[in-house]
Amino acid sequence: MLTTYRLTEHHTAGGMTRTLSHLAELQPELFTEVSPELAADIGLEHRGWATITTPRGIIQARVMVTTRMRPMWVEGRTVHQVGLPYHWGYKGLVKGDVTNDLLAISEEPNVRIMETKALVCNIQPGRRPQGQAALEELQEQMRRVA
Amino acid sequence: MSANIPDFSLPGSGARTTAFLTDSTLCIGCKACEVACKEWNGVAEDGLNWSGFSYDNTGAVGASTWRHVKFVEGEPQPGFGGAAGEVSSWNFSSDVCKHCEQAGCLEACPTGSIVRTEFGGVYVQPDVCNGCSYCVVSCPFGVIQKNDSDGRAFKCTFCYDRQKVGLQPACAKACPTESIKFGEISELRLAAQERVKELHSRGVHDAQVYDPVDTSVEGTHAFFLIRGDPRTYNLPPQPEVPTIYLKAGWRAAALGSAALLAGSLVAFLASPKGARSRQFRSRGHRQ
Repeated sequence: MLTTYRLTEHHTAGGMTRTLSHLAELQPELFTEVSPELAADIGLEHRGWATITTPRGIIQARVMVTTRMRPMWVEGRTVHQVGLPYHWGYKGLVKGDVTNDLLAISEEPNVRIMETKALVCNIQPGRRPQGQAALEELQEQMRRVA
Repeated sequence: MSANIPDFSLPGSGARTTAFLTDSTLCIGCKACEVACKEWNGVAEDGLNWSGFSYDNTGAVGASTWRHVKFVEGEPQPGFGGAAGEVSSWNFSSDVCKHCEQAGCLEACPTGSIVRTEFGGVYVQPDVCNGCSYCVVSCPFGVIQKNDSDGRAFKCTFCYDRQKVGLQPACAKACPTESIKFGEISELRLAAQERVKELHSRGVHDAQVYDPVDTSVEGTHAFFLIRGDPRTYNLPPQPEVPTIYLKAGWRAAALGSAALLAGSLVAFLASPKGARSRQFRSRGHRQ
């Protein structure tokens, strides 16, 4: 189960904070927060890389293993949480993959900001392929779950 | 100077002895103090590196980070009353130069660059500093540090320029939860005791004030309200000013020289018989 959130260092959209050195140094890279249980389960390493996929996109992020993320027990099975802050992009002092690429575009009617915050995802250790290979990897993963 | 700004320009001219009280139980880890400090003092960012150490990517207080928010992640514990699920504690605390009453850096500075201001803070005059870095090794808290680019030492100025014109330091001004309090030192010491009492009455029994008055540091101008072991927050339980070892050092040096002197005398007096007898013989010959 993927959940996205904003960090306190970030204000409104990423374009406003990624270009400010005093804010960029406080959160310089996109990371994903996982529980020690999930990390042990699929072989994620703290400070290593993880690739996260949904039917809409494929991104990579640094791994932060923390007990702040707890596995949930839902209807007789363990459901793991994958935390992903957003706010990185291809421009700015600090760059990173775009978390909202994983989400369907669904804007909140008042302020027109992405309103989706929770969805199902796949996570595996290692970095994602680049370019066309990334798309093929995503399609391959989709075929496997179909 | 306009009428509503008090003139704090000379010691004894009404300047207050001021302090910070940083209450970690109120800190939300927003790092506004870090940013406000860097903005006001014109300190540049010091590296866009992701540490993976909780949400802390600036590491520690140093030459280019004068306020630093520590993130302390605890082991999961059952929630209040035992009914709630297990939650991890996540404590934050904003660290800063302690502005010690007996400051190791000030005592070690050979150029007189480091001075005590009329507000009680410890201030480094960057135009006097020659970059010898004696202060760096003399700070019991590891606060002051050399700037890599020009070799001079830098640390929190206690916003001397702001205090001069009656403003509070930038970090205290920016803190949204009043975790960083600034004011007259005796008032803040009382406020800290009151806060500890309040927290104890609410069941936070490990709350305590960190203000090492019983050590050679003799108290600070930046004390902290923390929970549990000070070491969790990178604070030494028993900080000591290095100059307390001076007496022992000089005594050892004096003993050493006395021993050397005695050794030379002994060597001279107890020199080989032949050499001595030759000396006596020659003396005798002269007679």
